[in-house]
Amino acid sequence: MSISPQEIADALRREIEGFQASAQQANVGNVLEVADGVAQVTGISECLAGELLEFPGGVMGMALNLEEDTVGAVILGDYLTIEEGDEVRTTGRVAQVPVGPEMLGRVVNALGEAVDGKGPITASATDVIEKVAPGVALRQDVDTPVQTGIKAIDAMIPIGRGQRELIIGDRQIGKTAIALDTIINQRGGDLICIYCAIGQKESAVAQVVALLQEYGALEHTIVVAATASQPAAQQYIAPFAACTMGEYFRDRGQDALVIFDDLTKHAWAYRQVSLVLRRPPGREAYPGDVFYLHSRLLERSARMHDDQGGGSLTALPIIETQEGDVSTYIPTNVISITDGQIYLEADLFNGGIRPAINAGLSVSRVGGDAQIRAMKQVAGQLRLGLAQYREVAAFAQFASDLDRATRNQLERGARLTELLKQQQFVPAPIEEQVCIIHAGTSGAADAVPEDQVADFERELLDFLRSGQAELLARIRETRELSDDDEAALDAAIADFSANTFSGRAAMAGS
Amino acid sequence: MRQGAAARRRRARTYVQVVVAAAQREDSWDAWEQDLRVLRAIAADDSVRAFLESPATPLAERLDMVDRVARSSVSVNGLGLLHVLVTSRDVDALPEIERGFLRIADRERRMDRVHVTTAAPLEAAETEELRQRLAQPGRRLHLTTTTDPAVLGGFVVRRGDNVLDLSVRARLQSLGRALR
Repeated sequence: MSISPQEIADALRREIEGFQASAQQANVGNVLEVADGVAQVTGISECLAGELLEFPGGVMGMALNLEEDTVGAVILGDYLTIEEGDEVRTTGRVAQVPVGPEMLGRVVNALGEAVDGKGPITASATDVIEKVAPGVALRQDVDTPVQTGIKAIDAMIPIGRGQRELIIGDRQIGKTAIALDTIINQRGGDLICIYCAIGQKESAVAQVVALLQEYGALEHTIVVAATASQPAAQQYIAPFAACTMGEYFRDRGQDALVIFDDLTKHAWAYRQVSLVLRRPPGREAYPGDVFYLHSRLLERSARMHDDQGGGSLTALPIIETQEGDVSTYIPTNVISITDGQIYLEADLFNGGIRPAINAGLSVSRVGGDAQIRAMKQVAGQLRLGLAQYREVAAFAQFASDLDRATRNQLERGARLTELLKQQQFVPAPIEEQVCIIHAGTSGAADAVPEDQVADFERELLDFLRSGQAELLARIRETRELSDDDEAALDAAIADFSANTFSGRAAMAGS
Repeated sequence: MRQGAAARRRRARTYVQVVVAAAQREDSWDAWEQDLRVLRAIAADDSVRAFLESPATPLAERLDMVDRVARSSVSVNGLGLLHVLVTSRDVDALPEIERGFLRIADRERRMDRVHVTTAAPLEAAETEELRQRLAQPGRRLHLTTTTDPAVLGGFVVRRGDNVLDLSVRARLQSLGRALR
């Protein structure tokens, strides 16, 4: 279809005829100095804290420091075009981003502008990026699980909707992988995901977007990207913008999940902004309010009271450690803010245990209430048992003769460790997780040689899917493992071990 | 310039407090405004400022020179301030001192500083009408005007930090934004 010049002219004329020019009133000032993405501005005497300022050429800034006769503002765009003496206008609005369902499936920057080349986003609403977290009366207990699809997490470190669970570990050991698996596992579910990339390479963000697309998980996801090439000010506001986009769904009774990848780089960006604003440096040169920076951000995730619609915003902040050291400033801060942490360890990762979750140091402080009953029944003491196994295993390397109880613990622990290994991008449905964990904790897998546990798991699942479909469906629907079902499951596993499992010849010898 | 702009503003703040206190005591706001304007104009010349700050010439000689040059154009108070500034090497902070002083002085004197920008020069009668319309009872009005052809038509009024833009340029710009 072609559009004639006449139609374009008509459309333009309608636009112009409908245009209402109003006198523009503004509070203005002038740039005193500009350096490192920060401008000192005189005038703008009526400027609000956090207000958006307009520099020449449409470049926006945000007022952060209100001093006696000047305002310190971070510039959110290209600051090289701004010169001393330029006129600065207040806009009367504090920093805002577009919100709403129109954002789903899109990649945006920290200001909510599309950066995925799919055209501008026509969001119906905007909301401020800095908001006060909901108060006590507006909240209720976390009691619904976020199913990550990762056996080790859903069984040992359950995450509830509205919880803040930290993912912490060295570089390149699968922190982002856990976040992505969680997003992918929400396909067809009711949980809306927001992935906020802070200070990452453009290529890393492009890879994440491509993966989400490939696994069909982009439709329920918003990607907020403030990459390493963007000004520190954008990296600083990006998680707040992502949080605001999540709150839109939370406040409308829906469930949302926001992932901050990662808050270490966010703290770096904030440190840079603070130092060029001449705020006094503290420990590790971070400003004094770096704790409040993260606490007020994470405090905004909440499970709303049913009177308020019962929505939730779950947060999965990510922190990168150096050489596994969790006692530095930012990791200790965020550990103390969150409701638990998933601690990933390089040694485990290199030992082939992936996801490389350290069962001893990982905890979920509220998620236990949110675990489905069936999982609670079978997983019970799994985390503690595994943590003890790791300790005993370290001892056993040097001991020659061990008592029977210790040997059993070692055997069981080794099988459980194998069962909890999982490939990336293969999230497991909760009912299958329950069966697998049950096979491990009930001792049914004890006779399987360690190197065949993976085969055992895969074939058992095939066996259950084909022969026990109703049982699986019942666990999924009722979320419990009744006594009858447990007996049926035990019988099925015994039947499988005795008659079907291809590794049984080897088992006879063990 | 020995330090950055931020440090200069910090140094200026103390002088502003002193000058404001002196002006308040003697109700000599207008005289101080005049003095500061002259001093700032003197210090705006790079070679003059370089001489006043240079340790190559003994301090006494420099102060002597200040006396001879500035005595005719500034009051005793202003001369005293310049002495202090030269002695403590703060002459470069004069623009900040003047700006800080005016901000407080305008408030104290209840003076409105209004600046009108038009596309074409204003007639005397038009200026007078503007003056009458802008004047508010009980307040002094300090009206300045400039012409800027880029405004195209209409005018831009700036009172303090507040700008009322009634120019053709602003309307065209907002039309341009609406069409984008």
